[in-house]
Amino acid sequence: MSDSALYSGLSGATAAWRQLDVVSNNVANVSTQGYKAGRISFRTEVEGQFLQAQAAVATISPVMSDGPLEDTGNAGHLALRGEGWLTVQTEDGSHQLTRDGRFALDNTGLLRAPDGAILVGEQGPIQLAAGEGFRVDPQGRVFGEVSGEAGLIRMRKGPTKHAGGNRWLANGKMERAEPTIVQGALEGSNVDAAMAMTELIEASRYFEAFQKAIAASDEMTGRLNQSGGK
Amino acid sequence: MRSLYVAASGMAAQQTRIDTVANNVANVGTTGFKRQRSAFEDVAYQQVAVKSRDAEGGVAELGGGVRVADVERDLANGAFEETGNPLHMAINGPAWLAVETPDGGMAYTRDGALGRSADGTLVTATGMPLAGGIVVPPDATNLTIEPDGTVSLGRLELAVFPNPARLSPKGGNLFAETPSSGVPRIAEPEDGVVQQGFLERSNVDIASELIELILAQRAFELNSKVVQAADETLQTAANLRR
Repeated sequence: MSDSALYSGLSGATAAWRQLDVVSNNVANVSTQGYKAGRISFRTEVEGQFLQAQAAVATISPVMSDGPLEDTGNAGHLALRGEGWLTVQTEDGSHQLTRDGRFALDNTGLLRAPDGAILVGEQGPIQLAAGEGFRVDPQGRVFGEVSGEAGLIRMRKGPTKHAGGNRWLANGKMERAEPTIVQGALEGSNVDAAMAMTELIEASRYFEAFQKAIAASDEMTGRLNQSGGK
Repeated sequence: MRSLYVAASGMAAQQTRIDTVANNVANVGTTGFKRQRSAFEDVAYQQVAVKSRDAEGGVAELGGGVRVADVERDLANGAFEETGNPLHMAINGPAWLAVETPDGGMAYTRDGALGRSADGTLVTATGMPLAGGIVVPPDATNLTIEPDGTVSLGRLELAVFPNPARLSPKGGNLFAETPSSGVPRIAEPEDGVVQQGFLERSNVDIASELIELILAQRAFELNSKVVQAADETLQTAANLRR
């Protein structure tokens, strides 16, 4: 029975550590454009006759709420409102998803992210004329001042996984999304500082509680051993 | 242990942000200065196994913190200040004034505080001759710069870049072409109107820099709280064995 208490304590402590890891990444990315806060969820698993309960990390999933809008006045900056991802094509030709809308028109008329990835429309890369002004409407249609309509920005939603560098990868079936696009603005991180601090306190306190449980269980085993010895 | 490193990356990123703000504020009085803003990105995620009895799931992703993605330049025009000096000019539009560097290359600037060298050549405030080599005779009494950059004795070379935010700063208000800025073309009249007798001031807005500073400082503080919490948790863990 003590063993069971010991391992319950241990699994709880491990889960609290994980929560600390998730909160720390949220706090580190409190100013990252288009960052989506991670949220950890736990599940209590109970098994056996003697009630062996274990707190286990079930999932770490992104909170998909919108981050705050920051007005930059730069025509190449795009912010999304509502669920969905922009699609970019990296140098190796693969598609990645992002909410970090920092693009600039290059000398071939493509809209490129700072790392060189190209903004993709429903019919391939958005192609404008070099050096021209352009406008993006709330539905995501791009219009060049000289070249005219350049296509609809490809936006998707569905299961994703992290790729790092503010990018995500599709992780299952994606469907068409229709968020609103705001040109001349950037979406900030959706990390809520107050929430992060609360979770931080929560994780430390959980850890402490589980430590107490482990210590108590240890003590009980110790006493049991002593009494058995007599 | 991970959270300590993650929080440290957060603090380093906020430090860069503060450094950027400091440089902007220091250049609040620099003619033609363009403010910078720091941009961040999350870093590689590590997959960890999670306990799950379900068939699905079983893997969760833990982030490795943050890093500075780049420091972008905001190219909005600064306010125009009338100086009345016929050798001062401001460009209303995205064009850049081309300058010849001593090594024979080209550099570009928005600083239109021009002067005349000993032989009458038009030079920038730091003494670099303008591209095109415009020489003003010593006895010239009035010099006019037309809106398209035409001077009585030649024409100022104005350049437009496909992506000017990627020009590389060379100090002394000069910028150089880079592969990502693209190759410049000669400015058309609609690219910029030259206004004689004006200077373009820095586009740094002190109020927004102060807000940026407060945000950076608070974010730094939040990360330090994470360090504290991780440290306390480690201590608790160390006390397991008494």
